[in-house]
Amino acid sequence: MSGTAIVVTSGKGGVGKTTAAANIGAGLAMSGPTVALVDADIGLRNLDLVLGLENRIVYDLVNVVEGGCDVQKALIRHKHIENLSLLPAAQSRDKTAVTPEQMKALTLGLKESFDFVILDCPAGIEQGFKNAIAGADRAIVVTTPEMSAVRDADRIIGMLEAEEVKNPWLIVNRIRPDMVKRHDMMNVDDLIDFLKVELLGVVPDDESIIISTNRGIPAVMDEKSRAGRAFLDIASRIMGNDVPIAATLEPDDWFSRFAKWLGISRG
Amino acid sequence: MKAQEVIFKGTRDGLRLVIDADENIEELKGKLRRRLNEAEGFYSGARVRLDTRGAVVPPEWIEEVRMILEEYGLSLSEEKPGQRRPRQHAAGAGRASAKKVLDDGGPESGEPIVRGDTILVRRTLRSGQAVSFDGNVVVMGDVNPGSEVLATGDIVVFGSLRGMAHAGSAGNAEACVVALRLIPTQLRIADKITRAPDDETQVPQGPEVAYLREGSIVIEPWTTHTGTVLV
Ligand SMILES: Nc1ncnc2c1ncn2[C@@H]1O[C@H](COP(=O)(O)OP(=O)(O)OP(=O)(O)O)[C@@H](O)[C@H]1O
Ligand SMILES: [Mg+2]
Repeated sequence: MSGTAIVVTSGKGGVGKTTAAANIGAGLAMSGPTVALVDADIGLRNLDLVLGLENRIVYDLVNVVEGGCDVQKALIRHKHIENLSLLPAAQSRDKTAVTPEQMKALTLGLKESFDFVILDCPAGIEQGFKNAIAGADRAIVVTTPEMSAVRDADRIIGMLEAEEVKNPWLIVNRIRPDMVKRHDMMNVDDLIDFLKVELLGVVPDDESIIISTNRGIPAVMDEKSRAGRAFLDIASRIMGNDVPIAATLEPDDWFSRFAKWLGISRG
Repeated sequence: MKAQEVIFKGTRDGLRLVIDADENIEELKGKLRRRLNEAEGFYSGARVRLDTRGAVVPPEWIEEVRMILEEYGLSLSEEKPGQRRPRQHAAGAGRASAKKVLDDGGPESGEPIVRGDTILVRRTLRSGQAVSFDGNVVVMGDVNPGSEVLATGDIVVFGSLRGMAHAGSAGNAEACVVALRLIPTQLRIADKITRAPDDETQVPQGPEVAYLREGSIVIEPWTTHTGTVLV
């Protein structure tokens, strides 16, 4: 049986792709499935840091693709989460070190031994993006509730459709309920009305993310982290469970409006 | 003026690929690839007729072009350049192949369908995507900011028009733009350009039409009565 490859992408930089990839990967692995996280941001690797695995890197993705090393040898087991492995990016190379065909073969290979392959995509629409999506079955598009990020998300969704990665999921990251309430921030309804894609989850702006990133422990492992709980719910939805989107956010009547987006079928 | 680029043209006989036979083949191939990359799969599945504007090109050229087109999921019509098919057969020449239509016939899917002098685009145009057509354009979906619709005739958007639309792009001052929600970043009709006022926040309640009256673009609620005024 073959697993599912999901690419986490955004267009605009710094909106939370790496944070999402790490937490979704960890969240999935914590509830049973085996997960390989692939850092496809060659030259700007981050995923190892967020997972606290930087000091264990011996081989990287480029070594594997160039045939110098078996993929199993390059994969790093997570310290605390048994089912989670990381394939780190090369830091001293750039996006042109691999081709989409090579990434496709690599992803296909990983799907043989893992239930989920989560790919952390670099920002932009150039070769790094093309590499990361080459072997993906599905895509998660991350945006923040800012017009510039939403526009870039729209562009990325169009490009994903053209590359036959259909029906992307959307994550709205760094929502601040207080700002939305004051109408100082786009609300999720407007955002979905514009992008017309399926909402996978809403993650609050939460300083626990910064603390967990610095510690190298994914927020999903911290029961008190609101963002962590939102990512756990997202992982659960990816596994096909019907988790209401409002559940992890503050008991605020404004958020209950999200619940209606859950009715959309998951293809 | 610069020599004509490689362009795709929707015509009454289907999709045409117009190339400049004076270019060298390597340049031409580069331009064609760039076009197809920009289109991001938009033309995928379409049949294309090569138009060399009457020039005779070596058969190797046509082979090279065919190979690139096929790489991007298009096919080259067998017919020799310059040789026109009778109208009744040619009407569907720009249409997606039958298989593709059966595969994913949903309203969100799909390649553009050319019928007569109108192209039907059955999907949302997202940022960075564009449709340009020698005739009328109907979009069943939204036209998002950062995307463009160009038509020598009318433009009809069955959705929200938030991007750029240019009707009558070859100078037809009778052309109009109709949309269920007409909130474009910019609107052009023939040689006139308008944009929304910077403080405009009101969203129109219903479908609207934009057309030229006494040399300036006016926007009015769409009623069937408006249609008769326009004729
Ligand atoms: N929900 C959140 N709450 C607070 N801070 C966040 C949240 N999500 C992400 N951040 C912070 O935003 C910054 C950028 O996040 P991240 O590195 O995940 O983005 P990215 O999209 O991967 O960036 P790049 O495009 O550079 O790869 C980080 O400092 C991260 O800690
Ligand atoms: Mg990143």
